[in-house]
Amino acid sequence: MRESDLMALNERIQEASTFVEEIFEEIRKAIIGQKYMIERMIIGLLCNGHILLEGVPGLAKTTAVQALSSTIAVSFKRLQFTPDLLPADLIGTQIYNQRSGDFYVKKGPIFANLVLADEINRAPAKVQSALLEAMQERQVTIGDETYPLDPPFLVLATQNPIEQEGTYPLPEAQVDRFMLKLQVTYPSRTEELSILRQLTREDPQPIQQVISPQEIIQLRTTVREIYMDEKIENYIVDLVCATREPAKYQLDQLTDLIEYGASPRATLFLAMAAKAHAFLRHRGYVTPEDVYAVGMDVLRHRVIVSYEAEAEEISSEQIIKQVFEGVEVP
Amino acid sequence: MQRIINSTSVSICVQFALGNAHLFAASDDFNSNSGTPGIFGAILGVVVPALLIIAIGGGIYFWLRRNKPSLTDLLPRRRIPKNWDISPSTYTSSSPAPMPPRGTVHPDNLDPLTEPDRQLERDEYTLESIALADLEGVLSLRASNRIQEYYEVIAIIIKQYVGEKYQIKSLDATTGQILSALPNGLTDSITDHVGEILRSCDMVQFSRHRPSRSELDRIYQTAREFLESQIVVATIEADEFEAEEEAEENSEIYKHYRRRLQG
Repeated sequence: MRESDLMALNERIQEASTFVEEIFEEIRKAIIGQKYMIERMIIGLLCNGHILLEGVPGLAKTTAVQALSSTIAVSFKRLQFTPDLLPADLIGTQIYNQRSGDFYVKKGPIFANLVLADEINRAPAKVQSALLEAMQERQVTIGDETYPLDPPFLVLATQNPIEQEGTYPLPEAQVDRFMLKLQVTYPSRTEELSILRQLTREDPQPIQQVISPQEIIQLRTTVREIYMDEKIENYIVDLVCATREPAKYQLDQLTDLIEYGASPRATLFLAMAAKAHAFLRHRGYVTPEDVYAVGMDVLRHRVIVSYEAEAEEISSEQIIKQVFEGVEVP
Repeated sequence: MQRIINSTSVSICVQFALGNAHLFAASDDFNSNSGTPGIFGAILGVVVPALLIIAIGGGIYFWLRRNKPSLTDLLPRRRIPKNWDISPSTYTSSSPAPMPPRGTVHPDNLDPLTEPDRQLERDEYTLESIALADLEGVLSLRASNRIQEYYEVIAIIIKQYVGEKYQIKSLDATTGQILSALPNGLTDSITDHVGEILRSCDMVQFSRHRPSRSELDRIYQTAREFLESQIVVATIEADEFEAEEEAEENSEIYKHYRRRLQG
């Protein structure tokens, strides 16, 4: 890429990314704080990747997704996963019409642009599998007919880290399909105070549309064009390889703690997410800063810890932190 | 480099000597016939080419050294290796190397003290003076049109200075990590300066941006002004500390006399 092209791209990105602040402004009408979560949701939208949210109840996860869908003016469906849920409840089914004597298709809640799958680990494997298949293929087959899901299509699934009894934990292969896994934490004290003041005194203001779904789809192409230097590419590959062969990166202490390292899908998602992060910062190029910012969210569910690590209560996040400290920043 | 050239010269000389050995043998016959040019010819055949090769080799070496200084020569002198832990709460290393005494040796290549190092030692150097001295070195990179490296070394100087001053692990940290690791009580100008310098360096290093002449001047000036402003801050801090100590002493004396008067 020539320098003049890069300058033009930089200007284009600066112009195209102005909507991000407007989205934050609008969402702030409904939610205080949680900027990290909202930013990652936008990254998911821009990269066409799904998000797994983990956090205790009451952290405004549903409200955030609802508010985001209002700013883009896309359809939003929420689905509470329970142990008795069936795949047909999710994707839809064929219903017999007695009058005409035909079957007609009743589409399920998956046919929305933003889908919130609440407590995904409460549903049995066959429902999880139906959802994950739809996420991967972006189409659903009911009877003999295949129906494509309208873009932008983003699934946000939540997991509750507490009350694990009677749940069906997602298999590693299925978790790998989520681009990002976010840890949603409590708001700060100041934010908590603002929540108290704002939400107990006045009714929430209506959220205005900021950007259209078509524009989001166009922006995906723009994000892909963001310049990534060879040094950054090597940095990303080094990070992922360090999770597979830590000894090669002078991280011998991690060798026994990692059962499986991150997959090539992690490399792709890390690169894409870093580009989207650069876009949110109005830059036409990626810096190590962007990789670091999204690295934990891309890798935390892809590094499988060994029995030794579990016994020592070492989490994948602690391992990834050491990987980031051990791999040289360009 | 010097070693390679020397060994090459020696081997060529040996080749010449072996090649000319037959001259000595031949010269005996020759000597017996005509008498004069035997030893003289042999000396000319061995010594002159050897001297010539050494001179050419030395000339190439000095020419290379003058025109293309290596990046490692220009890197800040006290760059901290990865296994030196300056934030023990977050980082553990299996074999941490001990930190050598300041200003004694170059940690990357164990050269003896250079003249600027001695000067710094004489001046009871501060972190700022070290960083400023290092900053002087980057101008040669600019002169030789090595712009990416010029920015890279400025970033390392500032990262290293900030890391040592505020005890943060900075050399292998990203710009955002460094800024968020800076202590809370710092003035905005310090954070702004560090942020501005490191972000400009990031832009050149990772976006193929070719900076203009004014940008090249600006980054150097900003880095210099930042470091110089830190000297002022350090002096004020030292003065305040002395003033506080003096005030404490005075108050002790005052209390002492007061007690005596009361007694």
